[in-house]
Amino acid sequence: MLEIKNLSKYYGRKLALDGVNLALPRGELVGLFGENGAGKTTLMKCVLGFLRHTGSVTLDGEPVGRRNIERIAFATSEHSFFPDLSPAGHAEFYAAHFPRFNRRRFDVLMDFFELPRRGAARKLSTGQKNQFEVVLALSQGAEYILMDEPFAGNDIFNREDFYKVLLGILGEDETVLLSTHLLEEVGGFIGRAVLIHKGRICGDVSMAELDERGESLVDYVKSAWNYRAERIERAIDELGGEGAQR
Amino acid sequence: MDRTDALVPPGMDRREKLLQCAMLLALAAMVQLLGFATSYFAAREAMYVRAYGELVEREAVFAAFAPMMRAGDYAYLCYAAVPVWLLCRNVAYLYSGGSRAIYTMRRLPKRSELIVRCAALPALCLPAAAAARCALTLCCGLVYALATPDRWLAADAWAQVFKAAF
Repeated sequence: MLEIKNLSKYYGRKLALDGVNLALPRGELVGLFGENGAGKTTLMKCVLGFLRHTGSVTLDGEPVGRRNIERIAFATSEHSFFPDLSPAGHAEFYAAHFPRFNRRRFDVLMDFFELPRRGAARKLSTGQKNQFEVVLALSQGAEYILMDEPFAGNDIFNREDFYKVLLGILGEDETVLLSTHLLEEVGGFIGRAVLIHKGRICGDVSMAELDERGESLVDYVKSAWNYRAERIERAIDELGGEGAQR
Repeated sequence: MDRTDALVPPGMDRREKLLQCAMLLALAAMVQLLGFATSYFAAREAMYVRAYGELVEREAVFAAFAPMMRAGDYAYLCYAAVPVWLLCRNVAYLYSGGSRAIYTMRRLPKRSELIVRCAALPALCLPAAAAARCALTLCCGLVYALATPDRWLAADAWAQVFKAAF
């Protein structure tokens, strides 16, 4: 289990994460939702040890560090491939450094996304870069896969393909923490939704529980964020109904 | 995968980087040799004076060895910037090309990999430069001690050479 306890992070004087507590058992597909700047990326970077923070992050009771970092993979919209290394070179590099690198899964996913094996990774299109990033994360052989907005820039067909593949290939022991804004799209296949707002976890619910209550994920998120629809009408009123006059 | 591939960040052309380091080192060596040659021949010329249309040998001690190597020393001092530049380029590469490969490097179970891949080649530049400077200084010292007439040389000529080389 990946456990985050009382994690806080400051950027200068600005509090980016405020005492976050979260437990991710094995075999879950968890959606992490939050507005821009809510702290989703910061949370993932703290888990990976990229950012200094207070609080603890443990994997099966052991702090995340050199000995167990290979059990966590990371796919980010910022990308983390080596720009001048070919995808085939990446496979070699990952195989050499991550003992449980899944070569077969790498090959299958590369073929599925029709990604080229040769040529520098920097030459891939934005969509291909995203796909390659995801391929590497899923092939690393990690039990916990953190995905930070992995489809930013991909079209809907691409994303749907990815969801299907993700559901099809994930093993029972693999956990995915998927940060995204695409609530409606992922609502159908995640098992749990975690909401983060202004650096705090403001909601954590299983999709089964939402189904039982007959509540949609979007409605749940809106209520948890204290979303006020009347703000839109008020703003339009204050602008004097300029749109209506046209 | 070649073992020397592990001396540069993944994907970086190690041959190109090695070639750049070698070329710049060769440039420093050339400055050293040219500096020595210029100073040596000037010192030889200074051992003669022209009197009544003829060249007459002066009764003077030949110029010291160390100042003849000064241009080379400055060149190697400039070369010391190469490993710093190389280190900066290696680190910058991990943030370039629309990617932050630093995230992958920092996730590797073998943490030394990041340091080795960024700093190994720059670190090798320094002993290579020191060895080249030492070897070429000894070569120049041989020329200085053997090609100069004994009567011109100071008694501690060889000592000067070794002191300059090491």
